[in-house]
Amino acid sequence: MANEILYSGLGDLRVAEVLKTKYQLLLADRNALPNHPVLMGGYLGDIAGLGSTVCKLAQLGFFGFDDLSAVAENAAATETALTDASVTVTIQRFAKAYNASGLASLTDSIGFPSKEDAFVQDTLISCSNNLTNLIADQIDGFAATEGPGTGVDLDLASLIRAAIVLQVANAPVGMGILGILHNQQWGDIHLELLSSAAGAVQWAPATQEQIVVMGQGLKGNFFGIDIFTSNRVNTINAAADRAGALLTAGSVVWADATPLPDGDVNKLILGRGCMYARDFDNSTDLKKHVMNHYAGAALAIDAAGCTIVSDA
Amino acid sequence: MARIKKGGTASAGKTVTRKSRSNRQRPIMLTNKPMFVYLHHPRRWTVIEGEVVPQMKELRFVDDPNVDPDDERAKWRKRGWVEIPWHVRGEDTNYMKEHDGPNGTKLYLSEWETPHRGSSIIVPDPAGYVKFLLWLKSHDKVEPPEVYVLEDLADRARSRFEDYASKAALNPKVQRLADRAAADLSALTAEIDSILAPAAKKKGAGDEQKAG
Repeated sequence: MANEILYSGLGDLRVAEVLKTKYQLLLADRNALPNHPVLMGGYLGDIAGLGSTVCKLAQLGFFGFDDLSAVAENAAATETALTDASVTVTIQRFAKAYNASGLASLTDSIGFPSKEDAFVQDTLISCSNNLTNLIADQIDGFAATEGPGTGVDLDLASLIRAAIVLQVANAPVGMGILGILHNQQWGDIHLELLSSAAGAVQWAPATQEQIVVMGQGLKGNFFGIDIFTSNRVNTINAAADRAGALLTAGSVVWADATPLPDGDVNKLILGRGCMYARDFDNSTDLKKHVMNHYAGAALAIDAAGCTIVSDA
Repeated sequence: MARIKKGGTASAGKTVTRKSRSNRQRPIMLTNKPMFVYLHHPRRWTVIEGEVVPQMKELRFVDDPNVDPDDERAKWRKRGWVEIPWHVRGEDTNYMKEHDGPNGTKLYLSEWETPHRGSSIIVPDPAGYVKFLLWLKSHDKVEPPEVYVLEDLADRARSRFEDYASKAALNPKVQRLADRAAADLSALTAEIDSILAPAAKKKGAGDEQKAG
């Protein structure tokens, strides 16, 4: 009974672990912002090669902004003061880099870090996430706020009230209303429907085709509001609450700047301000993968959006 | 004979044991928390812990030499927001606290937010935060609330209370929400009364003088 062939004794014939040829992605919010008219209309364009990192959008009070006044038949009309304003978007560089050794790459059996396309794909996802962060940083700053009270779960009435606030403020709802909510806020709405709302609810869940066009974060249309969820929505009230928002066209504007091609084969310009670049150091056999995003966002017409504050 | 060590990686001539890491050793799992300042808009008021307090926005700054934080501040000031400086309560105080984040990064949270290692959860301290907000209010660091803003909040609280109260009989869970809405309404009404009462008293005194 001393010469059994046991697994525990086969140190030279077995290995401690076998690596599967696939890997599991760790969890992160990868929901890209939807291709929604409210956000697409707020895109100010690519400002590369225009002489500044700051893009200015003029705002004009015209086309029905000022009302007519009653004037006597033979009196001169009073000159009306034109109302104008502007909003600026500053393009900033956002970047990250990974540095992989030759040995790490040549022993790769799962497609990482030897495959450069993984880094290119990561660049695209990261730039998209960054844009969501930029917009989330703006939407907690509307002067108008709605919500059931700090520390209280979001309810349907608050969501509808926020939509009313926008319509009372003449916000342009022609392109629809986009709701950007934290998943906790959206979940609380679901729970409320489960527990207390009665009767039929005007909810049209996102179809497969809509999700393909608008992205995974789209939940559907709820009482005329296109709901998009993201866990990148900011906290507020010292992290007791989340600050989602309802947006209409013109509430938030954003711009980007895409580097121009310069003939360098180590750069891959992906558009919309995204660029992947690799940098190989022969002496150390290290390959650096650099991901850049040049973009900015700003709150434009304050009354065109409403921040929704509810329990985090 | 070399033996296989569970949880380790055998390599030429040696066995490397992977050390397990407790949550205490893992970093705080938060990202995208650069330095910030609090901003307040005169229209943004709320009720926290039964107190009528200003509702802040965090203006976060990106570390970019091409972007002047003062320009960012100016943009918000132009819209009516007031900045609450870090040292508002005195030179040796700062409501923003620095924490170590993943991969050597720094995270910035308020002193009323407690992050936890190995987690992205932030535990808030509403009582401490409200104390700070009340301090700002009592020391005129924010503009006092306009009555129309509070009346709007009170209308909404009343509407919530009526809505919840009507459903509470069918669903006892809603009673808690009705109680909360009633408490918010009561705080707002008291705040409105405290603003209007001295004004009415002053007006009354003026009328008496005129009559005299």
